Amino acid sequence: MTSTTADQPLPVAASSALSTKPPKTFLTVTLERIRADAMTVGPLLFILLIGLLALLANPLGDLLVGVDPNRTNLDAALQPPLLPSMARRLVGLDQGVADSLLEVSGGVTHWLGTDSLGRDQLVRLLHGARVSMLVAFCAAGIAFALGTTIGMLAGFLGGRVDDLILWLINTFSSLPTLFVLILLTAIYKPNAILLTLFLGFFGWIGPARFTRGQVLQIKALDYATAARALGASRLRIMWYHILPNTIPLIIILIMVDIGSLVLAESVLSFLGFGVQAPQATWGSMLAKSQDFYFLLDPTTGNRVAWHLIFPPGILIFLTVLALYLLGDGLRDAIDPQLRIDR
Amino acid sequence: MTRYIIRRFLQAIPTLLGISLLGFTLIKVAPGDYVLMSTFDPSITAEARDEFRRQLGHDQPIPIQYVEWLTGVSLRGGNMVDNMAPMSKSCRYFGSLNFTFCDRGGGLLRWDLGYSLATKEPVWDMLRSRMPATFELGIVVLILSFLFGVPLGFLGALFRGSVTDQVVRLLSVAGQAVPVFWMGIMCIFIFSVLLGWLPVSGRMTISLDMKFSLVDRIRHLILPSFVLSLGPVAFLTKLVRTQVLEVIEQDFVRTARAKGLGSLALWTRHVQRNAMLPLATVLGPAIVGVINGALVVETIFAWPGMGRLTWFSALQRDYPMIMGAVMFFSPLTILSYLISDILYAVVDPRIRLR
Repeated sequence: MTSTTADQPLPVAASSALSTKPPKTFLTVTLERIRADAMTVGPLLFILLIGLLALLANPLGDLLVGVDPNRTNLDAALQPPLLPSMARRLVGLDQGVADSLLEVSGGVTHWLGTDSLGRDQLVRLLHGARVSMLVAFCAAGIAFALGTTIGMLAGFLGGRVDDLILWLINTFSSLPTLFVLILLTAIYKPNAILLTLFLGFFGWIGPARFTRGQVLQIKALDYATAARALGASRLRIMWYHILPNTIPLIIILIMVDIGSLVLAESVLSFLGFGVQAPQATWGSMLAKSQDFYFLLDPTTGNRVAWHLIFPPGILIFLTVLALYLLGDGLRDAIDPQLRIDR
Repeated sequence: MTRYIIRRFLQAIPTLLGISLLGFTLIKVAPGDYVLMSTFDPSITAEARDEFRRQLGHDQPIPIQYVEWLTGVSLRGGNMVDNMAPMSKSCRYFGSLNFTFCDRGGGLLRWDLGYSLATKEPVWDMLRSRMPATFELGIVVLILSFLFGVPLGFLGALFRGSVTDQVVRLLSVAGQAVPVFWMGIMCIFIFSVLLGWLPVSGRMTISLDMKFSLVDRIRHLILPSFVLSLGPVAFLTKLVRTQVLEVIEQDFVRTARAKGLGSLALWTRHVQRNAMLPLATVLGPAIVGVINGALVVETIFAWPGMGRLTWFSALQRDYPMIMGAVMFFSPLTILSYLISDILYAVVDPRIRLR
């Protein structure tokens, strides 16, 4: 940078460059950092892809397979995936396998095979993605709306309100959550909406505790005191000064939380207490696979369980992993000071 | 310290009361009439059922029912001694105040968790008979977690930025993201079914003489404990790595290095000691994680523990049984948090418990 003295006007080019370049805001800086980080962009794209697949579950299922997720066909039960044998046919190996599979299924292309009732795995996986995404995102929304509100109230009002809320937080966090959720879901066989409400209702503790801590911290800072000295009301200080400062950190928490909620939903479905049959979910598909560890395909002699065990599990794993990595990446982008790996 | 422990115990009382209130509400709103379910005999008349209901106190207002459920003590207006006689031998009528006091025995405060709807056995007996299996699994998992999690975290921090570190970091994220039940199914499929190395499920091989065999027990324990310890190992690895990285940037480490301390002494005496301190605080959450995870792992591996019992009871909608598990694990959770807080103060004298 060349030095300029006070009486010397700025070079025209430099000043115009300054004026046309949009100012760097918090958002643009954050987006820039995210874009530079492959470990954040990758997971982000993956989550968007899963979300898209979930949204387009119906048209995609019709396009690729053309059957309903709950349509059974006992003749084609436990079919191995069509995809590898189709690929072999394309390169000119093993004409017979793909043809015989198609013949048994009545011409339906079961790319990822079928389950014990002859239902198509691919279509069920797509519909399972829908349940996982919907339940996890909505439950996270409920948990955070509840949690931040309660946490803000506790931190800001203090006194009796704070005592009561702290007691609630302590009580809830001493509960063995999975056991209580199972008790609840055993009482009410839940549908997706009820399950979302349950998960959301038990998820508020983390955000509430976190927000409360943040509020207590920020409340003591100079600018909050200054705002109070200028006569700002409690509501105004909360809304304009404290909330914007907690939101970035809350976004990180949400990402990690959605990951945990995807896990929780799949665990409950796996145990038989999630969204009820015949609705396809990743967890319940895995639960079914346990019955076929030892079963051999009568014609080929291969184990049939491969395509039942791996695709749903891999999908759950990658989705949760992507959400956790996304949380880590967002944290680094929003506040590099919090970076752990260094 | 003593005062702190006493205060924490006192603080646990309202928390436990809150939990019991929640539990009672859940049982009350559960569909299905307890009296109808336990008197299914068609020859029992509606009047007899009403009488049974009165004796159980199900006709009383909800708050009174809660007190009875909690303490096993019944209070009724008027002289009800004859009426309550089938339920309790020790009823007394206080004429001056015109109410009847009955000590029916039991109640949650005397650790009476009620009877299972499915087996009619006391809930506590059923839980107790399953306890050794769960504790065996849980303790092995906790030991494994610290045994592997701590060195892995150190390894990552020691070779920060290297390939080793990258692998450690990836493992610690993946270990927390992998669904326990999928890992269990995969392990059974690969190691038990395909390779045939380890038993598929259970705690021991069932035989006629049921002789105790340590090798057999360990073979059964390997897969469940491995699967259940993945999550805690990943969590501890991440924590230890972060802690070590934080400690080596402290001034006293730089001073130690500047005065020429060898790297072995530096790591063992300065870094390791300080980085290990927060481990005490995660003992509580680790125990809680293992309790929750045990439910899933026991289900997959047919491990005869409390988690599997709870799962099975929930499938049968045996509410008293599930409620008993909740009421057993909640104080355990509080206790494990308390122990880990106290441990923290013991290992780190700078921490003052107030």
